[in-house]
Amino acid sequence: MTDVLQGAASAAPRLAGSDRVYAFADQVAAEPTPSDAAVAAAVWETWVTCRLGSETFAFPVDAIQEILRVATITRVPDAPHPVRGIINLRGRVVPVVDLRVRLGLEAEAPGPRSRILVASARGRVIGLLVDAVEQVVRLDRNRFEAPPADVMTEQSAYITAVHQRDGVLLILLDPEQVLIISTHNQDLTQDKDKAPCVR
Amino acid sequence: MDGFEALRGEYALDARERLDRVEQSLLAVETLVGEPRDVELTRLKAELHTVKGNSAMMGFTDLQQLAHQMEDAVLATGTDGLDVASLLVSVDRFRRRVVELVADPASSPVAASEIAAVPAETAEAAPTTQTGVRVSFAALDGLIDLVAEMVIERNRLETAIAGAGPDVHLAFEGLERTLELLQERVTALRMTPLHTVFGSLRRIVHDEAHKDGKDARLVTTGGETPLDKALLELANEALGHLVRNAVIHGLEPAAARRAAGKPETGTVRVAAAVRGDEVLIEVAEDGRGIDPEQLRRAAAAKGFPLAPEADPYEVLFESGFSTRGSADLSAGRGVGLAAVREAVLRQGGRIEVRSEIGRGTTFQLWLPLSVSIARSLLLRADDELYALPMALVVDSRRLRPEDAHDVNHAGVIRWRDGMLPLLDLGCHFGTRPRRRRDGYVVVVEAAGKRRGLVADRIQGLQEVVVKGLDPICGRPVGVAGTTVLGDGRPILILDPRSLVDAAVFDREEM
Repeated sequence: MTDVLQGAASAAPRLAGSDRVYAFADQVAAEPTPSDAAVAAAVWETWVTCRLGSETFAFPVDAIQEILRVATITRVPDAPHPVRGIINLRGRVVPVVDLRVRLGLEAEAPGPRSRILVASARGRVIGLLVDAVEQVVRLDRNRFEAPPADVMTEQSAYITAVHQRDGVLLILLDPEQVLIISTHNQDLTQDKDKAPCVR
Repeated sequence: MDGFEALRGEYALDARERLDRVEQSLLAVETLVGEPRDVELTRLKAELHTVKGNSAMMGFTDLQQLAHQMEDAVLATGTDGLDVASLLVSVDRFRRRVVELVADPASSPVAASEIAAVPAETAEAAPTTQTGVRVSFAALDGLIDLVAEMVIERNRLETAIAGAGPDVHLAFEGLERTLELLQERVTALRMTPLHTVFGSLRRIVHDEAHKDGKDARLVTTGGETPLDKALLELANEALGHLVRNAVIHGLEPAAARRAAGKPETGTVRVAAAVRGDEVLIEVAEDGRGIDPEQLRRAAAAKGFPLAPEADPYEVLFESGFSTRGSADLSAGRGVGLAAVREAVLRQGGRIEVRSEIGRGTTFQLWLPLSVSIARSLLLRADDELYALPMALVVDSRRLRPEDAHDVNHAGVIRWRDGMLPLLDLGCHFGTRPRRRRDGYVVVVEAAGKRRGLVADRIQGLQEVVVKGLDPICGRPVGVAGTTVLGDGRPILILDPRSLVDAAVFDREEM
């Protein structure tokens, strides 16, 4: 898979942020679709894929405002564990949720390919920290599959569907569900950086 | 400041207001007939005469001369044929010269005809003061600070008189009520009516319509709507931009309007009103309107493909949208609107647009009724910076290891004949395991309780714009909100009211 940022950058070097997503979406839209028979039945949707550990996840492109490189994230004390802190988005203070922690994976320090997906849902703007942003893809809604019932739990309502594409299993996420974070769950509010104060 | 300097400042303020009124009169005279026009002309002459007299008194002979020439021009033309355009140029020259003279009164006098004219924008950059008693914003801020200090003293007094008799408490309650009223009134003084901003809009409409060979008039309503002075400059810029756009891009030339069966003179309407805790300012024109489908096609052609359910008008705010193509319906709009929206968002406002083909476009500018600005100490504790609002700060001092004592697993110092419990910010917010015994103590007082906040350093004092903290972050104890520092770093604003109640005992023992 091509890195969406590098791919878009080579095509249109001046674009930044959401422009790159749109430009890339446009490129993808211009690509010929597989076969006439498939086209007739297909309902195309545009998704942004990102990587967390060894898995590939995707969000609907409409939910993502822009993609940021990781700058200073200011820690917020006693915040629910998946909340990594706050960033300044052009004067607006935006919370950043570590998607790894939110989805139950082990937390990791951001690397050079880490990005913040700026998602807007219900009038709120929240950043989602991911290991890497990969591509903007067009997916046929009719080929979405329900995730196996056995792996779903009450907490995994954020998974909309799964989709097999070019030998990669995409896990399709619902941004609104992802952003529902319990602020009461004691397990989630445990801040690992925090040690008790001793004399 | 010596006496003459103060007088010069007074003169400049007065001249600026009078010139604004001269400008308004000139623009009004253009559209009036009959008696109202005569009244306006009389007003115009009176203002010019006063300006002339004041300039003479100050010894600014070139300005006296310029005012005289303007007066002559008005007197000579009488009731018709007033050369408004050249008089407006003179107004600009006058303003420019006033600014020069205030900065340097000894600057050599210039022949009236040689005083450089400047574009209206530069001359009007400073928001003007309303009539009535003039109070500088700095003086007002000083008052607000003093009232905040009185509130602190009141809290102290409350503790001190705890054992006193009923007459003392009665007097205290009276004092308390008066203080609350005072605080309310002083804060309200920061509110400025919007018509101070509307004045310059009239000029913009006049100038832009003139340049484009269009007929346009400005109608304003709700000029009495109050706006926080901190937002005045933003409103001035944003409205200037929207009104300019309305004339240039919204209104059609007279011929096209005639063909469409509309009055030849286009109307730009600016209406302001309070809506809940926001001020809504609408800028509407009765021009051609923007076709959403055309916008969609233009957007797709320029690399901003829109989802079917997306609001096509949003694309008007995309930076770089309009510069990418040549569709004339929105040409030149993109860059400016993007910047305006960004500035508006930064101050906690928003901007929306709707349009009807053939009937015009309306921009809605929503601004918070008041912005909260807190003069704050910047405290560094470990690697974190915090802003502590000054209002409840009582004292600050060095903390030396020999001064720090442990009493029942809590840190204390001796302070003003008593013991003061300490709260280490690093321990409270979990950035360090052990209390520091070296650093700074800032004493805060709220609800009659005092506490010493311990940090490494006091890094400075500055005004910060108070922003909220998204509920997804929970409600951390001791945090009142967030702000963004000049270098772009987001930091937390501390809440002294909850910090005086926070546990000072070491967490391990809890």
